[in-house]
Amino acid sequence: MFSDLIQYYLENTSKYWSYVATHITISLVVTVFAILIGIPLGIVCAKLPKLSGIITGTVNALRIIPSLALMVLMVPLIGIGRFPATIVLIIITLPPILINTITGFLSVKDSIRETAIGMGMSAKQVFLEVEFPLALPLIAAGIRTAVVEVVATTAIASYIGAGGLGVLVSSGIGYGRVFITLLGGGSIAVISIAADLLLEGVQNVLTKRMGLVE
Amino acid sequence: MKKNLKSKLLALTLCVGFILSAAGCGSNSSATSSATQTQSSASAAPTSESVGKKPIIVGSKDFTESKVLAEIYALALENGGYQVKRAESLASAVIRESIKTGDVDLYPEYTGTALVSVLGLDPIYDKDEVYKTVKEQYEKQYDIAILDPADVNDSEGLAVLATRAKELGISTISEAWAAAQKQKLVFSCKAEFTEAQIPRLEQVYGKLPFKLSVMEHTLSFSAAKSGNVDVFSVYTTEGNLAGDEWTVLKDDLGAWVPYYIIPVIRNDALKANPGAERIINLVTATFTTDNVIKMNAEVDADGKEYDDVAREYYESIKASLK
Repeated sequence: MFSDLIQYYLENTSKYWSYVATHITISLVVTVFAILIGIPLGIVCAKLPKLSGIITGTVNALRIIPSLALMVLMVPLIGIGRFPATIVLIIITLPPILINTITGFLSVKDSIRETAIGMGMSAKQVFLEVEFPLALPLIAAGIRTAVVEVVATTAIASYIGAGGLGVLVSSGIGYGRVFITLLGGGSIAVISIAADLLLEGVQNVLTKRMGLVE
Repeated sequence: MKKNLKSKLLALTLCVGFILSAAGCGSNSSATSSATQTQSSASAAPTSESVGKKPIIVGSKDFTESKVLAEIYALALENGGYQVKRAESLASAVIRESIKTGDVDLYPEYTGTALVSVLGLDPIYDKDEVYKTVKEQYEKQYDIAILDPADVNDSEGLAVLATRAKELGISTISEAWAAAQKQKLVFSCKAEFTEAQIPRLEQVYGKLPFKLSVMEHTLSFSAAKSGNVDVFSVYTTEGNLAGDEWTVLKDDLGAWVPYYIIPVIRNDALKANPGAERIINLVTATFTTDNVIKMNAEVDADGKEYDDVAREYYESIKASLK
């Protein structure tokens, strides 16, 4: 089995790396967009509790639809390939970032906020220098959860023509060669772990830089 | 005593078949359960010649097309006055052994399968030569006859939306290749197609000139309809191709081994049942790519029972079997 895997890799090296590149690109684009949408949305929810219910409700409702079904449903609307896959993956990735951002901001105690105001900080200063740094560890944890999820879920994007390592996973299943599936699935796991470790490092650096001790 | 052993062997084979096919394909579980029971024919007219004779055991593999075709043969033989037993939904690996041991007398096979999977010979790409080779080798090695082939090829193929094919002016794979060199065309297939079939296509037709998009098999059909995909891989008799919406490109340079439908029957069963050969050949001659696709679609897409579809078809050809 292992020698089959190695041989397959040697015969398909460039194909393999193009799958890896596609997989990482999709995951990265999705994560960036999920952060750009999720964090501001989370802040809005934390500041305006009335909107919070509607926004988190909608996001969670979309998440309830199984990812594969969501992707296939996107095809008649926006076609095949990376674009619909990216949209669906953003929907899947949004909840952990959104919810952790809300929780992060709500966890800042009123007493701290009042102290900051009492010290003469402007609203902008309170937000940037007090609330955001205190919420950051939770936001970062949300991003880590999201990234691990997105790397794994990108595998099913291969069903709608987005490419990536999912091609190897289903190829091995359909073709009856377990080692191809193992190569695809194993690589996804490695990327997932690597991304998590990388983000853990970033999170530690950020927390230290902000002068916070967990 | 011998008969007892034989029926035990049949039961064993069927059990193995059941396990294999249940393990191989979860969605077929309801169909495979019927494999454990061979039904004796209720509707056979007990004519004087059929009384006391060993019935013809008609087998089928564990997928729609095989089950429908086998049932049509079974019905035609029953109504021709022969005694018939059924052994449905056997795993491919089991049925090809069962016919050698006599646990199955007749079943619909494919020329390509017989050549590559059963005889273990190297691929041949000419349809007549495949048939000739398979017929000779079965006779010689197994004392099994292969009757006339149907003009129906259940192989790999490439399809295009009919209107799109007209627009591009393509009807063969070579023409598709040429068209893709002039403009950007998208080619879609399921993941495993990239492993063996694309290399084979490139070997015969030259480097794939399309933008390749890998996706779930049935999705290609809707993606082609919405204009996202131009050329995509299909099985040439699958139910999804029903209707005149699709054009299956001709494999003009012969990239794929032909898989023409052939009835495979034991010589002893042929000898014991004079006249059966004629009925089987008459039935086979009625099969066309279109009507086989239509029957597959009725079962797989419309959810009809395979034996109802077979009966309906049999009723429609009954008059021509006289």
